[in-house]
Amino acid sequence: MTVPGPVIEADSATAPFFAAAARDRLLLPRCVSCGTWHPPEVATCCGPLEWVPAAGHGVLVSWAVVHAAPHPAFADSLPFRTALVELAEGPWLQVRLTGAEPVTPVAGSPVRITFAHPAEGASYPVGTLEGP
Amino acid sequence: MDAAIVGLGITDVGRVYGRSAPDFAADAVRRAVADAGLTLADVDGLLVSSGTTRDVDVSLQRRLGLRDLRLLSEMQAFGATAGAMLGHAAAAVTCGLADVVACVFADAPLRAGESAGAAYAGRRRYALSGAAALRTVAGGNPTVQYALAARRHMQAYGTTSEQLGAVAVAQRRWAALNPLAQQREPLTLEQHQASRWIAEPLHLLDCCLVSNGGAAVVVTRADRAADLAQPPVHVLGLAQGHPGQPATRGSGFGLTTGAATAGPEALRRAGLRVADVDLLELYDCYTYTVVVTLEDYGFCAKGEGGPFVAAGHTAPGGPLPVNTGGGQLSGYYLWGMTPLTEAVIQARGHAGERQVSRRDVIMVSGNGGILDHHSTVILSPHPREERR
Repeated sequence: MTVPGPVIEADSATAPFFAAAARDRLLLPRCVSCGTWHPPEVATCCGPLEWVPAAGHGVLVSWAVVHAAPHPAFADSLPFRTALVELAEGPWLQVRLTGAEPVTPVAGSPVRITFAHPAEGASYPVGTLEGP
Repeated sequence: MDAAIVGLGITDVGRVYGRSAPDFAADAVRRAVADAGLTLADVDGLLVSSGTTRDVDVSLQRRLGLRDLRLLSEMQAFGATAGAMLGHAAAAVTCGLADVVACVFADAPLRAGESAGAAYAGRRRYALSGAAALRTVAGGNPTVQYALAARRHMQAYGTTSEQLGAVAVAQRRWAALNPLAQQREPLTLEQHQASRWIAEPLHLLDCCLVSNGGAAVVVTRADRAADLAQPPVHVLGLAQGHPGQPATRGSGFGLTTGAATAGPEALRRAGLRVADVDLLELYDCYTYTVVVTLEDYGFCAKGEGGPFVAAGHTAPGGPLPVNTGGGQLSGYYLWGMTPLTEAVIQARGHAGERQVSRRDVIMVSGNGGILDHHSTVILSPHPREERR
């Protein structure tokens, strides 16, 4: 199945994150000193950060149904759902929700993280609603 | 703080084509200086700002032929910039760094024959590498992020789309009375509900306009203001709030904003309380932004912003006029200059059909980024000691 959306790539800071995504694994930055988990964009804590495997599931914080293409590469995929997911470790991740959705989501609905593998560019996490 | 707004300049605004953002900016400054009864030679400070593509910079000095400026900067805090510029100007004139400071915003995203939506989409720079690219491939953009914020508010407090629609309807009623407004025809809640989704839960009519144009204000010390052409508008209080909410468990994203700290601080600096405020000019990039700002400022309890607006409190004839020119939803979209310009017009008593009767204390908000940046300004026709 064609993956909607633009082609993206890793940068030096996120190379381990995207390399893991290609192998269907979610990594998050965690502070070596205090153990705090951070979302992928965070680069500063009280100690060095290391990329550590995360459980790959969480709960819905919020979601929106996107009807106007936020990037031209989504033009043929409308509408679709985007969601803020609070991962089990605490950090939030924004993902596109994929798959059929038999339930109306609510805040707290369980979400499983899976991965999109576009023909071009980096793999990245997406989400699947797992229940009400 | 001992500063006053003494000049106001607003260019032609809306679907005005063939003019660049710097051209609008220069026009706005000339108008504001003339409005104050001053000349460009009197200006010794200039603060400039523009839209996301930052088309106006400090070269505006040369375009205006301004000599020997003592204060000059480009400022950028997104929707909080107008309040931030006013704060910088007020501080500068109070401590003598400059005597007459012009603050200007201009933008020209609209092109002839193109939709308002295309205006920003065509000029947007997308993050396509690194962690920031995750939001891009998730389908995020500013409107989508505000939809996520609004949905979270709805889930937490029961806020409804109809309540957001009440914001749009109330502001359209104000806009009908404002000759500067782009959208003045009557609007019903049914029309709001029937307007197409942009990013559910936000309909088209939950989103602000897109405008070409510019606006400027001239700021000087309050004791100098008395001799100038217009009734001075005194700056009683100022504050900013940039919460830097982390995207992690416990974040207040969508539930509370920088308004919750900036609003009370600005009022405290002015020696005032929420109950003293006569009218509000709130940054309204989306209807939801008005609801959350009313709550964060303390005009209603947290979670009660939707019912508060739906009850009609903010509409013409209501006890707390809000966005009396129609705001960014129905008036014109000049970022933080939209609420600031309308506040100056109301404070002067120059608002014609839409003039409110009580205008001693006017609270003005700016909101930028995805609820990341906030500015609050308290204005009054009266200097602090003489108020009421």
